[in-house]
Amino acid sequence: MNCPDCGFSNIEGVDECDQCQQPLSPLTLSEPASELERSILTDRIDALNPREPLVVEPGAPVSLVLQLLVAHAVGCAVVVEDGEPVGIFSERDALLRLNVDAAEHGDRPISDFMTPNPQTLDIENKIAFALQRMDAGGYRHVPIMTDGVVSGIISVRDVLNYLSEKLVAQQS
Amino acid sequence: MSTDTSALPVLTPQDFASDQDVRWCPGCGDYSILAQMKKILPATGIPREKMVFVSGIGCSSRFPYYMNTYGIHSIHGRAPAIATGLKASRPDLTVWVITGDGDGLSIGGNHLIHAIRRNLDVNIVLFNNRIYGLTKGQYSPTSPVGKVTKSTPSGAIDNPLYPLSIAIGCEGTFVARSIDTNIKHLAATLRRASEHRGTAFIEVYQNCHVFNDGAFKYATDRTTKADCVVELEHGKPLIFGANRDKGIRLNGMEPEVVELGKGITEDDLLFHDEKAAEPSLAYLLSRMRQPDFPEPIGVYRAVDRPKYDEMLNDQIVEAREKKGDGQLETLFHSGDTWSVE
Amino acid sequence: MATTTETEKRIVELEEATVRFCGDSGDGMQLAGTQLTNTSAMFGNDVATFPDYPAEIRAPRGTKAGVSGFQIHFAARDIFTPGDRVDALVAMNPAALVTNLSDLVRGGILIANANAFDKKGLQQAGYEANPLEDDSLESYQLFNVEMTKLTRAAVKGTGLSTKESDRCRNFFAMGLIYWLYDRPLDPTLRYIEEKFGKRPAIAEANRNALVAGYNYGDTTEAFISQYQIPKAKLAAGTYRNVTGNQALAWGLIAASKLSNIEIFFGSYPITPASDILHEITKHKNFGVRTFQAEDEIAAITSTIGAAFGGAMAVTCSSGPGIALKGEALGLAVILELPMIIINVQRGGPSTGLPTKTEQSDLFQAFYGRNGECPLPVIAASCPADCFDVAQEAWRIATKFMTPVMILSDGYIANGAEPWKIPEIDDLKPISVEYAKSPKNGEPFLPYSRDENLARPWAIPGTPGLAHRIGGLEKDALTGNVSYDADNHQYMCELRAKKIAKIAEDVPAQSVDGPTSGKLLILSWGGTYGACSTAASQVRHQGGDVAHTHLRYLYPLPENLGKLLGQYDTVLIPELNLGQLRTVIRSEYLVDAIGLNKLKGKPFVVAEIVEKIEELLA
Repeated sequence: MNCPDCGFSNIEGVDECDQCQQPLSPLTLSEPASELERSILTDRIDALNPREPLVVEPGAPVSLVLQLLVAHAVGCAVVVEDGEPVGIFSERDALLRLNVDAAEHGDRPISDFMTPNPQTLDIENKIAFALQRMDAGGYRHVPIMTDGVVSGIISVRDVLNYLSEKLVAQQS
Repeated sequence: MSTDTSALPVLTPQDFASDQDVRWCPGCGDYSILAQMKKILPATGIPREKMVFVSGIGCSSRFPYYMNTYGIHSIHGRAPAIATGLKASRPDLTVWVITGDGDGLSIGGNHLIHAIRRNLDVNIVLFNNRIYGLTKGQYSPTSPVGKVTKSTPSGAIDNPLYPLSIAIGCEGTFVARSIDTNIKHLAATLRRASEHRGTAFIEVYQNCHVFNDGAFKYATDRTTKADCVVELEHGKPLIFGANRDKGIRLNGMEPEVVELGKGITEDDLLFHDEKAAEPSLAYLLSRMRQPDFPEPIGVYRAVDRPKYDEMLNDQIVEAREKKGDGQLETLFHSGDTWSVE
Repeated sequence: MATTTETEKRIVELEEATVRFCGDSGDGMQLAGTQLTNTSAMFGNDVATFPDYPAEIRAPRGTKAGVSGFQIHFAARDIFTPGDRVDALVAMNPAALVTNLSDLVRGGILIANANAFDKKGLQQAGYEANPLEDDSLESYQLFNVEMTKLTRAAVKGTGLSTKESDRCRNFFAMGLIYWLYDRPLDPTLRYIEEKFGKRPAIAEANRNALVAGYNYGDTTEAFISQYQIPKAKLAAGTYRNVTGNQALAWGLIAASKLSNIEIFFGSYPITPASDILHEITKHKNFGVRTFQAEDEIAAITSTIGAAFGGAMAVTCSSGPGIALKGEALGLAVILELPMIIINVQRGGPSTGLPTKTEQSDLFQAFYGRNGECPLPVIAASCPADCFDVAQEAWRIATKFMTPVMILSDGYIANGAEPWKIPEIDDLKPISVEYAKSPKNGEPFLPYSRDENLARPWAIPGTPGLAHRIGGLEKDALTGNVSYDADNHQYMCELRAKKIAKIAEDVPAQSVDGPTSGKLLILSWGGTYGACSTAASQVRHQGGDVAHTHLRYLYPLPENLGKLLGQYDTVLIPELNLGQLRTVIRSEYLVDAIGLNKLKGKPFVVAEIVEKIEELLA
């Protein structure tokens, strides 16, 4: 890397500049560029204020789950069995898996149509980690665990709210 | 034994016979390899004082003692590393590395891989007898699963290595296989290796009739060899069989054995290309094994790539051109100095 | 550039001083230390240094694992150690303070960058309260200097950003210390101009920071005293600073030139030896062929191959790597080829303390191979000595046709001291001849021997000398593989005899102080400085103590036994549990006493003086 003090082109990773001996080691550590970056690296998921999740049993009929989704005005339900999250059913699943045959499947258990083994996050995880997971997995909703129990749910919208707030704070 | 190198003397195999009694077991495949080596060396035109044979430990590694050239019988597995230091500092020498399946792929695996990937200009001959002979019969990295030996009385459980697949995986620039008793083929293969510039790697199927007799019987027995071996020739299709009526064809990315006639002609077959830039074809050939496929012998790959020893010495030449020949006075006075009166 | 001021500044003349800069890896302490070293050396003091590198490669800013330090001892006389205790400590942050404070003398000068002692910094160092503001540092002369703020003010106007301005803090610290010890500013000003010429803004900023630091000392009332350390009487000549690793590399290059054989250097990266490879590979124009091998064993075996081919073959490593090389070392011994193996010792066993010094590989050097496998071993005593030791090793290797081991250690390797540049004509040529083709076609006997019991070096490419050598036992006459019983006995004894004869070829062991008496200090390796200083200090006060320092460890010098017998007691200070002591006891039946330290640090003079006084009482 080029020494910021004397401009000499050094071999990558050397501790000191070969020409002027000024230190180079801390320059290879990345520093958060802005307050926003710093906060997503330090804040944890609880800063997103995860909501109480809509929880259903695997045996709950499809028609009931659909009604609950509408009644609670939420985008997804977490399917829990013996305290463990075993599946997730979102409006996307309704669209893609039920589609025009929704009425036909009304009596079938939601376990037939849920996405099994959902990805979860821990309340202690950093927001940066959650961001990366949601992007990598393509998840719009992620159940949040506290001490091994489903304690909340976050959505992409929650992340958007957080980022937007921080941006505004940074600009002002 | 001429000592005058001003006019290149014409050497004979006798010139390469040293005064040591050969200590291999009677009937050992190593005798054949030794004989062929002695036959082809004179034809290379290189004076024998310019040749060095480097070996490790094993029956194979007794080889240097039986050649009247310079030689180092070193420690187990380290011959390629010794050859690297020798060739890098003496690029003018012709260096042969003699190793075996244990010496080269077990303890010496690391050094072999690096010598090949560096494309050091040396010739490496690996005598593969699929057993540890010198130490009296333990299994080796090339022994098949189930092989019963003194150290594996319940049968070996390791999946074996295939030397050529390793060499090709290291992008060896010259990779070949031959058989100890096929003397014409072996001589020709050794000859080609000696002519290659870069690492030339040859696996020789070698029979240890004391501890692993018949390991390659399928490839040497008159009644089976035609069907179990396919000879590779650059630019020619892969045809084998006693009546030369069978061939290898590519089906997608897999080879398959087909019968000629019945709608299949030579043109449908896989044509061998030694010079293919990507080693994938050579690798595919190295995976062809009995009993499903005939095993290819001959030169799998022969391509050109810059040689390690040449590049190393080029850097020295370049440094001298750029900075001038090194002077101690200049070195000591470089940087900050001060005087005391 | 000392300015006269109105405030009364006391000038105190001192014989010597030890200063330590310490801070975060990003604080530029190595540069500050090197500049003070060069400035003091150019001024005319004798100097000795000891850098202390951080334990982690990229520790987060402000943590204890990221603390880096540099200690300089400068004096008005010849000195041999980097200083027992620190007289002035410059601590750039709390973590540096907490890790280095214990080495500061009571009443010593403590200069702290007050701006770094914020909540986060204190927390990282484990401080509950700010030590600069409570009484915890009252036994020292504490100076709270707002270095960050003052530096930023000093470089304002150069257009540098805050981050860039902070990189000039080390120059401020330098300036202050320069004032404190009345050092000239010129050498560093010239350095700034030379190195930062391409960035005029940075050069100006660094200059401003340096002068600001200097003026701060001059004008601030808190600094009452200024210290002067006069020039030392050193031999006339041209000097430069060298570290041990650098001197080893240059010594090898010199040996190469003096013997007219090009170097093949095969090695594998390992702390603290890697820098030898880094240095020597810069000098390809001397024909140096370097090879970074795939592992330690390939490093030494490639060296053996090169030696067979006629190169000046060298490999280097540290304890764990030498352990790996064991079998190959045995091969080199039985092949009787000249080559050099360097062990820059570090804390062991196993991975041990990679960045800390120790001298616990003596047993390994003597006995670490299977069979009767004698290997000549010589040890360097200080950084500059490495230059001579390298040449001596090659001389012995080629004269006796044997591999030779050089023992150095982390302290010598990284420490620096002034080295008087020799006249090239004064360097002794090393005459080496390869075997020549036989005249009348007579057969070649590769194991025939000369008066030194050395065999001929017949290199490939020489007509008529083709021969095969290997690790198996060989017949004494023909060199062919031999399993004969009597021959093996003969060969083992012959190999031992050849190495033993080296003792006749090396200078007799000499003594500093009385040639007989109550107490002799016997030392080897990097303890030279502390031992010789301790002995001369006690002698100065009337104590009956002599000091002798070994360079040749195997074989030991011929007159050593007699020498040891001339004293009532022999004391062996070692950075191990008593390895040389065991050797001395077994060789000479002398009941030597040991002073053993294994703290990853060199001896301080006081520790040895204490033991001497105890033994003399």
